[in-house]
Amino acid sequence: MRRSTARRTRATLAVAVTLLVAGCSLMGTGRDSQAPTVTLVTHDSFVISDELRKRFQQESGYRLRILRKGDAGELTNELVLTKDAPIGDVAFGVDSTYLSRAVDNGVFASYRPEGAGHIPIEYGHGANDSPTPVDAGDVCVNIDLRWFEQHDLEPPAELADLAEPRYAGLFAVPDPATSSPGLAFLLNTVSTFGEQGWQNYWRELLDNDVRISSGWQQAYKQDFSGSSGGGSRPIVLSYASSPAAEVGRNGQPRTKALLDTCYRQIEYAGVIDGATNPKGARELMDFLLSWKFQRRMPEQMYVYPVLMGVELPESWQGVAPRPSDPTEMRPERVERDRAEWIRQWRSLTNR
Amino acid sequence: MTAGEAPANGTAKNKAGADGTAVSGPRPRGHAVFITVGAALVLGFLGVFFAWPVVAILRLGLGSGLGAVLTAPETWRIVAFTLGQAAASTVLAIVAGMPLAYLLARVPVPGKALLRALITVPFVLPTLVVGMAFRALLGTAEPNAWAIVLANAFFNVAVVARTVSGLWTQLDPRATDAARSLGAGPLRAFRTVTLPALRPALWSAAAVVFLFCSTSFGVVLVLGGGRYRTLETEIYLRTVRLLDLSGAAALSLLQFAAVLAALAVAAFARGRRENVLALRRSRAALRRPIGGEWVPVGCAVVVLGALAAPIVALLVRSVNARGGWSLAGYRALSGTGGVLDVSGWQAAWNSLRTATDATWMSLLLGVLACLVLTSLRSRWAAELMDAALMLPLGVSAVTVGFGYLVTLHVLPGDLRTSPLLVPFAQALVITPLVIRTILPVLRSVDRRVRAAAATLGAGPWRIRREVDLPLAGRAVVTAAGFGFVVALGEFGATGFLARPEAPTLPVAISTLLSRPGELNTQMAYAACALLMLVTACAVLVIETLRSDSSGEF
Amino acid sequence: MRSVLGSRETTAVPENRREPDDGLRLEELTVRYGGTTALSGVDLHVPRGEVLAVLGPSGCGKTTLLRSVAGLERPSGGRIAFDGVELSGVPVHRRGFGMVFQDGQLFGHRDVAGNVDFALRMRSVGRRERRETVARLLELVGLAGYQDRRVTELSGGQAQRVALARALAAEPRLLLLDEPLSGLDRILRERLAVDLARVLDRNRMTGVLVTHDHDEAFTLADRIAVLAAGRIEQLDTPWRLWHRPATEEVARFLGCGIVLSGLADEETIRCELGTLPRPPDCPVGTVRIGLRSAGLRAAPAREGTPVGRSRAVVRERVHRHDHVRLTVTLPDAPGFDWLEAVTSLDDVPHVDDEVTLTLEPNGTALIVDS
Repeated sequence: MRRSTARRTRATLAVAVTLLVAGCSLMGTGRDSQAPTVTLVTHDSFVISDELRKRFQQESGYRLRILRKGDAGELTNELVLTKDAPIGDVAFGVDSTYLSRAVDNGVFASYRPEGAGHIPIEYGHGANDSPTPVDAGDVCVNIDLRWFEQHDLEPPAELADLAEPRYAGLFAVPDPATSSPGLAFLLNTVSTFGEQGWQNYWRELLDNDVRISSGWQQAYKQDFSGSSGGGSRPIVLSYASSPAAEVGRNGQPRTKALLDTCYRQIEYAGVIDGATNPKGARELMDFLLSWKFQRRMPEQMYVYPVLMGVELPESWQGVAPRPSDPTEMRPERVERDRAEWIRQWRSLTNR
Repeated sequence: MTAGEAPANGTAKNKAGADGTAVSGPRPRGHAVFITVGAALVLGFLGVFFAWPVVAILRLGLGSGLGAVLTAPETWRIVAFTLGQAAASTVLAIVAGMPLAYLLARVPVPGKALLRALITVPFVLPTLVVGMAFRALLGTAEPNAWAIVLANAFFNVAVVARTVSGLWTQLDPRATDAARSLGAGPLRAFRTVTLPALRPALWSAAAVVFLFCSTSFGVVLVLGGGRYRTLETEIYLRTVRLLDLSGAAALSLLQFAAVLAALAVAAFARGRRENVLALRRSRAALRRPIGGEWVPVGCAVVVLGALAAPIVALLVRSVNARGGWSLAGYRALSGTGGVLDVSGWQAAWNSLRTATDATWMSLLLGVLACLVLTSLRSRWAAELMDAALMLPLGVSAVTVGFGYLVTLHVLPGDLRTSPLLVPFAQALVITPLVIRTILPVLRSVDRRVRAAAATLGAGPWRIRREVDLPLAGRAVVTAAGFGFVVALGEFGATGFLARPEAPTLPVAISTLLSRPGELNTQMAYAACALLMLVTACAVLVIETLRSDSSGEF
Repeated sequence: MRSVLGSRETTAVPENRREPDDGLRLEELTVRYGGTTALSGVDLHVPRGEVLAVLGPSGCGKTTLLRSVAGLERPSGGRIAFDGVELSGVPVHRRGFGMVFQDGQLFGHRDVAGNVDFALRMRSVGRRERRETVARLLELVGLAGYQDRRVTELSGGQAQRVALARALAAEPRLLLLDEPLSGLDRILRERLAVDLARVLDRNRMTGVLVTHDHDEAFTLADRIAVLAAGRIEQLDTPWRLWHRPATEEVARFLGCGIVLSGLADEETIRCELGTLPRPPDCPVGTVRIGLRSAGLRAAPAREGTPVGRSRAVVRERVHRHDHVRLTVTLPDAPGFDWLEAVTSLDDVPHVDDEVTLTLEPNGTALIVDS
């Protein structure tokens, strides 16, 4: 008697699990919409709200499919590997560090989106019409304001200051070999101190007990004292936009980006050469450079829109203004020397 | 002593012991067809989703630069560290896992299903999160090799505990009693009786853990801080960041060689010792420890504490913010907007769906593979196929992921961008785990039971259905549960696949962690808690299924 | 190696009674594993309705023989046929042979009824008929009402009865028994052996029994084949095997601890320990006499040793259930070491007593050389 009950329970459970399996399966999903699809290949940080996506789909008549692939470096390399058989129609997120590689390998087809005329000249747009800059993420040194207040120490202002003994043991930076902002910082030092000087600068940083961790997450979220992790280092490498996320309940910013330490990384988007839906791709490009999309970028992706006249959200205006004169480096030069600089950096830091 | 231990008479015993086939007499033709088709299916899947992509990406890179990489002393330092940390992690995972296995198999603990769930939870946590948790708990911001070993072990204790306790439960405790009555102390009885009997499971677990650890990526990156590098992190660096395919190919070949060597060592050590065990579960197996038996129980409690520490730390982080205690992370998780384009619940649902697909696919493949492996008459063919199926565990996820990019478009339907690619890739990693769970049980079923069924008129198919499946039923359910958990935790190749739409929980966690802001961090930890909850529930459901369908050995 | 007596007895079934399609027939059956030969050139014939026991020590190849017949092993050479049909291409489950394994090998995941009706389910027999058959078979093996028991709750003897019922349920045309009683204790073994013999007899089963225990073989079998090192040493009726072993090896295997040379004349057979009456089938001339433990009977020595009796001194004494077993030495015949002898319970000599020894025909076997 007891056994038959057990058997019934088991049978019920088995049926339930089978139903669950059947209901859970991804089989047969994704093909429900009859609308033609346009595929956006992008990095993991790309965010689009439901509302915006629906708006694009309604206006264009295309279903928007998004494929996310790692960070800008991974994205670029995968675009290069698949250039003979592209996995999407539009690529978003190749940045200035990797732009040359993508362009040299002919990843992008030529297209000048409608909004392109409203991109300021400082984003280097002109000679090439594809890909098109879509946003800028400036990598800057951030500081914990309260720490400097409490320790009565003058905060550093520029990169050279970080090598001074009074800032010893205060700086945390992610590894250029394994992290995107880390690489931007390395390029920044090369750009600032020149081919001759950057290694010296790094030696000084090392002597000054700079803490190098493999990712931005560890540097910012664990080592930095100004973030929620409550680490021990009041200076960290992050983005110009980061302070916008670190506003206390009293409305006062807890951190600040040092605007004279910034390196500009521009993110590009473009129609992929060989796209299966080039028409849809062009419409999506227009959308990405439209006012309605650009306006939402800061809050969703923590980047600065490129379109002229798009204002930053109110909450950003005081705490996370655009750096006025960031360092930059020509993509061709980055492409040529990037691997060698990383190699030199690794042997310099014994990593 | 018990049924299976009585020596079989005649020379027949010495033969066919390892392959587990019941019948070496004539077979119906249909069965041979089945074996061929089954082997073709399994190897075909392995070929399409593993061998072809890997070979393709290696071919893109091979040619130049191979020699330069192989002659660099740097390379060999990396190889040495890879193997060294994997070996150390494996040893630690086994040492820590054995007391837990004992606890699960022999001690009557109330709420054992809950305990199993707790042990399994670490396995699903994103490596980035665990790496950071260890970094905080150990206070090691500087690169630290021992922290890597500890974290690797943390992930894999579950593998050891589950694999070993599965077999241990089924060992007849009277063998140990006999040894004790012959004057062996508890330790000696364990060493001379229990340990040899557990060997197949131990080697199985060791092989799996070693492969996991040698390809461990996130943990090495976070805790190694760039100073401690493994083949896996180096292949990642070269492929993903530098697009140095030739350097990556050379390192991948090295990784291949290392994995094959490790598998060969494991196969050699395991030898032909997969003996017939008395699969018998008696209630007497569970009993209150006495005297010295409290020592392993104490060790198990310590290990449980160590496993719980990072978990508790994560839970605390999810409700504790700079401004004090708050549930803001959880509240934010249930809404949309912000940096996630789905809510936490949707991400959890996506995780469940992906994991479900990965699980049924790997079960199908794994069970099929087990049937083929136990039907093969040639021991070498079986060993080779077994090893081939294990390979995906030990080969870089980057290599496989990038390999997909340059191959799968040739197939109809361009799987590269299909939502099904993720479960396919996961199935590749889970299938060897399924095989490792089911195969030892199938092999330890006394082949004379199958012979008995055959003489009663059951053909090979019927024997599979009527004898093997019910006897291996628990193992199949265990494997399903384990595979499901692995899939939930996004192990292996999936990190480098395109993810269409629907982020899963681990993906959501990683997105949240890569954004500044207190709320995002809290949400990330809240998502971790949700992931753990989903995992624990899944394990509990599976445990219920398992104990219900236990039958009796 | 094979003795004349053995060969003669192998062909004891007259040629004209043999029908080509009658029962199980093995011809030149050879099984090799790599370098080792488990069976070499075995010829056997088991007519329908007969139970043949294959008797031999561990490792002699008898289990291999049984597995080959069942189809669980692929022979390297020779032929296996049943009712004239060659079986080499027929898989196990189509041979229609039942098998009872040494330790039952019951299906642990099924209850008693589930084990017994397995074969019926394999043949898609209807539920009600299955239930009836199971009940009938369980009654036959003395386990009526055990249907719902879990097999793990059964004693060894009960498990073996279930195994038998399970094998019988298949209505096999040939029943193969692999040491069916060896895992059981003595009392149980004897009782089950008798029951088994009755079941086999009642169902007029054709069977092959493999065992190392001659009691088991003698109880169950019509004829017995002694197997050693993969060859058949002798195939005979139990009586002849017991009393006329073909070789010294067979005699020793069947419990003859001592083999003596003797000389048979018209009346008697004489040897060093005494004389025996000559049975009619024993040729005159030299013979060998195998002595079992009951082959010497001791009696307290009285005045003067009668002719044909040896004198011995008791060294040890052990009480058995229905007799007393003595260990004795022979002061007159230093060639012998310690010997065993039996004596009746009513006149038991003490240690160091002198006794006289008589040869007991029932405790001896004659090995007749060619």
